This record gives sequence, structure tokens and C-alpha cells, in this order.
Amino acid sequence: MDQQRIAMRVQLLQERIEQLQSELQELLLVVHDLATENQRLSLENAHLHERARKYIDKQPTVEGEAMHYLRQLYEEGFHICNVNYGSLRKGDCLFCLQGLERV
Amino acid sequence: MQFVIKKNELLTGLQQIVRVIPSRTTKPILYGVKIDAEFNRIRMTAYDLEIGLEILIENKDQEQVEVLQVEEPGSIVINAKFLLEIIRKLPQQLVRFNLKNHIATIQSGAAIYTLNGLDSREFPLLPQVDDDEKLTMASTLLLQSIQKTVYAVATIESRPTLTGVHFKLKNDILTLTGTDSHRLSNLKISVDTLKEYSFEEAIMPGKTLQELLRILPASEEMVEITLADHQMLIRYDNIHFYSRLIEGTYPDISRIIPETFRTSIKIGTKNLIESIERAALLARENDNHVIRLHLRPNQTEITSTSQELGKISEVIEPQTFQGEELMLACNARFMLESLKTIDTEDVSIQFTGPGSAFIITPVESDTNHLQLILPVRLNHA
Ligand SMILES: [Zn+2]
Repeated sequence: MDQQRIAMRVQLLQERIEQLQSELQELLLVVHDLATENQRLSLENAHLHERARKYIDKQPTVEGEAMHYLRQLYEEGFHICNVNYGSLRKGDCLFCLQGLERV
Repeated sequence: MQFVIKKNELLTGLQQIVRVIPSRTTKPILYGVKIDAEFNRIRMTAYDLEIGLEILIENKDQEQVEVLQVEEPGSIVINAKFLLEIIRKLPQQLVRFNLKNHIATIQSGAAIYTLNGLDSREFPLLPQVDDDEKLTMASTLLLQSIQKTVYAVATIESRPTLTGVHFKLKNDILTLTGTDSHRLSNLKISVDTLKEYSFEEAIMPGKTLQELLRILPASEEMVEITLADHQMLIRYDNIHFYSRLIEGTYPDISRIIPETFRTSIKIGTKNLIESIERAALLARENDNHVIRLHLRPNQTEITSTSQELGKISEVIEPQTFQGEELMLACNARFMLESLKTIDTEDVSIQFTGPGSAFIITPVESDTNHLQLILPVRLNHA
């Protein structure tokens, strides 16, 4: 083989390697996304189980309209506790949850 | 004013004093340390109107060597940080102070400094705290108690009450509580009150307590705590530490502590800390430093994932496991800050569910310490 052909083959090979590598990267990303998704789903599953449990355990408590309204406010991101009442909350609040009887 | 003092005594005192000097203030006099030369002692004062520190230097009877000789009483205010720099660099072990018309001359060996001082009558007066009633405890006990609670207080909060630690005294039990409403730390210690003590509760600013942590030594010597209406005074040896108290009513926490649990584990404290630290490396990426705990009968699994970096997963075998399998997400920083206050080999963690607060307590300890952390809810849909 003359030098030119060798050079060309090397170049072709290199291109194929690069292509394979990028395919591999893509696959790795997919794998990672799937793993994350899987984890999220199993956590969500656990939460759903939890909810179902509470639902069964609790039998429908008398949750008045006021309570419903407070819960809604809380879920929208506001404090409903008398410690921080009315302010925007960042994350869950011990005092609010106590009011909602979730702690 | 005229006195001669040992450089080291002055240096040690000034190093404490500068901690209280504000880095920015609209009242320039607060950059100063007030130096009062009294009959046989020197009183140094710094006061940023929130925290005040007073250090006394005097000759102690039992000591052979005199540290101080006051030749003429007087008073002046000098820029504290500047004075510290000068004293630190003085060549000799003895320092002579001289004051004439608000100009202080500081002499040590061949070095002579002339400093412009301020009129000490302009310096704000420390609060009057009536110290008839005192609570006393070993310095090291106070330090540990603060360390175990102050980490949990709110740093930014619309409600100032949560930025402090709540002290409550009842039947010789002192209860300290700190919370930022996402987590909570509650510690009970027995103290001796020599007589009926009228103090019931007070909220001490977190910032004050952080300062105290730096100033108080970890020794068995006694600290005296006096609480008045809006002020407190802590005395240790020759140090008087003043601070404003936070006004307002502290929230009732008795009802937020869960009493029934679904899952309980006992696990090696050090192992758990190290494992969470590793998981936290990835959790740094996300807002809440979220890691996941999966509790199974013989395995506690700690995982964290990051979109860019990947996943860490680690399994520890708990000493004991009771209850049901449970999975939840929580803030790694909160976990670490809590676990680091645990000084027993094992730690007990009791869970109620993925959306409810869990309790961390030391195992086989005389300390009555309870910490509460709320998990992070991920399915915010
Ligand atoms: Zn709240």
C-alpha cells in the first residue's frame, strides 16, 4: 500500500471511531436518563403507596372547607402557620404541616 | 491617664475585642475600643449596640508578676483594629500608655506611637443588667449546648424569633430550641439554680451565640448567665459579654414532634456521616442538596444523582431496623449538620413517612437531645 492509501484508511478509521464514540455518548446519556427516571418513578411510587395508605388508614376525616382552603394555599407555596403566616415558603414547613396534620 | 501594661495581656484582650467591632457602621466611634484606666485595673469595651464585650485586666493576688500598673486613671476611645495592629508589632514586653488632650502616646522600647483618640463620653453605655439572679454552668457545657442547637436557627427569615435559640428554664431543666421551620434541634440539660429563679424564657440571637462560641473556652470553669428584660449578660473570668435579646413569642414546638413511627433504625454515626458526605458531592448541584434514603431491613441505601455527573449509591448495614421498608428524599446539608452534633457511636433515626418529619437522637447517651428534619417532597406536581 502506498502512503496515501494508508493515510486515507487511517482517516476513515478515525472517523468511524469518532462516530462510534458519539453514539456511545448518546447511549450513555439515554441510560443515565432512564436510571434517573427509574429512580424518580420508584420514589413517586413509594409516595403514592404512602398516600394510598393514608387514604385507607384515615377513613375520610371531616376536612372542612377552611382546611381545604388552607391546604390549597400551602400547596401553592404559602405559609399557613402562625409563625410565618402569609409569607412565601421555600420547602416544607414544620409548623404548617402540623396545622395540616401531616407531621 | 497613664499606665504600664504587659503586651501579651493587652494583645489577648484586644484580639477578643475586635471580634465585636462592626465592619461597617454609621457611627465611627463604634470602630473604637474604650479604654478605661481605673484604680488598679484596665477595662476595655467594644459595643456595636447589639453585642457588647467588656474585658478587665487586673493584677491577680495569687500572681507574683504584676501585669499592670495604673499611674493615673483616665479614659479614651481608640480605633480598635488599628490599635491591635500596633500592639501586635511592638518590640518589647512592656507597653506604656499616656494620654493628653485626646492624644494617646504608646511607647514600647524605642517605638513611640501617637494616636488621635475620641472622647469616651461619646461612647455608648453598655446596657444595665441587674445580676442578682444568675444561672451558672460549666463553660464547656454551655458551649456544647449552643453548638447542638444554634446550627438549626433561621439565617434569613421574615420572623426574627426564629433567628435565635430559645432558652427556657423550668424546674432546674434548661431547654434550648433552634429551628428554621424546616428542621429543629431541642436539647434539655439539668442546671443548678441556687435560688428561685424568675427567668423563664428568652430568645438569644444566633449571631450572639456564634460569637460566644468563639469567645468562651471549653473549660470546666463556671459561666454566669443573667437575663433581664431585653438584655443578657454572660460572665466568664474577666470577660463580660452583653447581648440584646430577641423580642417576641417563640412558637410552641411540643406539637410538631411526632410520637408514632413507621420505621426506626440505629446506625453507626461515623459511617452514616461519611456516606452522606460522599453522596453530597453530587447533591451539591441541586437546590436542596437532595439525597435519597432507602431503608430496608438489613440495608440503608444512600443515593444521589446529578444530571451532569452521574450517580452515587452506597449501602450501610444498620445496627437495628424496626418497622417497614421506606424511601424518602432529604437535604444532605441538614442531615450532616444534625449528625455532626451527635457524639455517640450510634445514632437513632425514627421515620413516620416520606412526607413527615423524622427524629434523630443519640443512642445510649445521657444527653436529652432531639433533632427533627423534614424530608424533601419531590412529587410537587
Ligand atoms: Zn409555615
